[in-house]
Amino acid sequence: MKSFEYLTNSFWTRLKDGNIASLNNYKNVENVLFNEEYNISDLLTLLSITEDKHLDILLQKSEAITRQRFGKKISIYAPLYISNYCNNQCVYCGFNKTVKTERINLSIEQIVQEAKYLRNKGIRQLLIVSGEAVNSIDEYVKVASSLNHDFDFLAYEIEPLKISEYALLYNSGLDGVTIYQETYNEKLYSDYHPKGNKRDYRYRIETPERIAQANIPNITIGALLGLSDYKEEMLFLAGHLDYLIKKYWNINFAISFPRINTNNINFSAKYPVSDFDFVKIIASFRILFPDTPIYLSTRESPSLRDHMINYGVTNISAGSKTDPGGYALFKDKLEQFSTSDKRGIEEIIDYMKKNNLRPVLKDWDKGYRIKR
Amino acid sequence: MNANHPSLIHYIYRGFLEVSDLKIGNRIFKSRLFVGTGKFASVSEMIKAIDASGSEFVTVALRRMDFDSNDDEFIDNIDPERILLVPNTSGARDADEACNLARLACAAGAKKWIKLELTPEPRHLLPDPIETLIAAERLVKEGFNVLPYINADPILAKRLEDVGCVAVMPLGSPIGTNKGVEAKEMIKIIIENSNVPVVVDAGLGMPSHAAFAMELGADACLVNTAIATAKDPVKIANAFKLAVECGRDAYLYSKVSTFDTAQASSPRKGFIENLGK
Repeated sequence: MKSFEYLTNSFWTRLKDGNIASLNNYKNVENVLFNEEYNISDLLTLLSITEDKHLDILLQKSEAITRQRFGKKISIYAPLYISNYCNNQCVYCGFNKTVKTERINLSIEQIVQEAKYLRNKGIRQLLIVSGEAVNSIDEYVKVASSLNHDFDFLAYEIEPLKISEYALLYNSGLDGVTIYQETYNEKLYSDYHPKGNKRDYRYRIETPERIAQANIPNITIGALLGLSDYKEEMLFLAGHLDYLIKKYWNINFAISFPRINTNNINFSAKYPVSDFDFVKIIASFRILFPDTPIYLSTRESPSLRDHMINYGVTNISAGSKTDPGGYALFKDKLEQFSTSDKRGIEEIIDYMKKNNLRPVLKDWDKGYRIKR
Repeated sequence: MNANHPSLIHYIYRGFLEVSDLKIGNRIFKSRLFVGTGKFASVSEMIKAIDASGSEFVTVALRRMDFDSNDDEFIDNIDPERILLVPNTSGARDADEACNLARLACAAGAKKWIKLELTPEPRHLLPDPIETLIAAERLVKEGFNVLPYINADPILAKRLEDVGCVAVMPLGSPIGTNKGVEAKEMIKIIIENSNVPVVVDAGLGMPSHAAFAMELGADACLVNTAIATAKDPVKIANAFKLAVECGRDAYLYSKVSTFDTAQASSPRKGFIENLGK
């Protein structure tokens, strides 16, 4: 069975009557909050928290679990955007093909130059991001081969590929892939992705499995908060993560919670997620998945990030630019989204050290890369 | 000291040494507390805790060792004569990855000591016994002093001893759980049957857990999470140091039996005293 069948049949059946609304008989929040162990059926109750005192308890538990499992280490990475061309028309995205603006596809030399800038700033863990269906697999292989000796951890956030293509990238030195489902709501998914390869909901939802089958050791998944009702979205995300962890038990799965940020395009989220609910989501996932790294990008404000690295978040980006060439080459090109936390890498590291946290720039090693 | 005293048995089976010293490979350790370096809030806190622990055996995850840097605050503050810094292969999914990591560390200047941590399952970080054995055999042949982290599996422990590992490191309970020596019965069997030092590793959340492991007869304990995430890592490191020493002394010099009922002085005392000799 693959993700699609699991989430639409088995998981859905287990949710009783296949109707999310029928699960509104939440167990008493305080009963669940003081449990010793948790499972996915507790998630909706935790996400139903509205009172500050309950959120406080949730955050205390989340902090204790994070400390026990991860200590005070926070892993730092940076994204490197290599192209803002895209063949999709995702209505919420700055790279939407219909957005009329200057497009850039960085050459290998330019990519290396951008990477060098980040390496000189101390970054050892790099996430390469590109608009979808722009570069050929050979070009992605070339990028990985050019960068992997300078970075201890190299990941991609690009379009879904075939198993054989992921396997090729793994042998070129790729350590991880990030792939967001955007939304698990199939009807809304279709509305948000009117044209382009990304329309294929099933192909996308099964992408983490193809990555795992290609033996790439690190996979980050998530959904874009704001595209559908967050409780339903998070329930399916939790189900998907649980399924993947159990089926691909020797893969390091991580989770990220991107929240819609459309300051640079004309789109308004129909299901906005407040800061209160956002914090609740991260803390709930921490106690449900105590061993799963949680990522938080610079979409979020400095204040929120500074707090959440104590309450569940273990990996953050720093000094990010979301426009190709934005670090060292060009200024003011098309960004995928605007960042909120504009602090530089040194400033973030300094903040962590002053607040009794340990910023870790190297948390992987080239020694894990074995050609298979 | 009678012939059945455990310290004498270990003296005979584990080499001609002071019973208070620990020999692993060709190196002697005064301290039987080993320390891991993950999860600390800062390098300076880590160094202070290591000092307080008195440990002479410190493990470092290879994934965090920076071989490209000439300026490493941690390495610069560790006395290499007193402390043996042992890389571990945490995160390695199979023997190929673990061996590759070990060789890279050696090529970068690390001594040929390796703590094999083959933990393909990231949730519980449990060791893969099959890949651990394969990697151990390969690395021993390449001249490494190999200390494998394993489940408390007595048969696996013997297989690893047979291929030449210098010690075995069975878990007390899963990494980071702080649940103590839950695998007590299996660890006792490992200790009974082992010809190499047994270091109880993982899950020791309280100093009393470490003392208990030593009372069972373990040769050493490795502690990381409980020290690194404590409110005061330095104080707790010292507490573990004392606990390991106490547990070792209790093992060597105390031999008490346990009873299910209270025992008055022996009812046979008068009878025995009056026996002709």
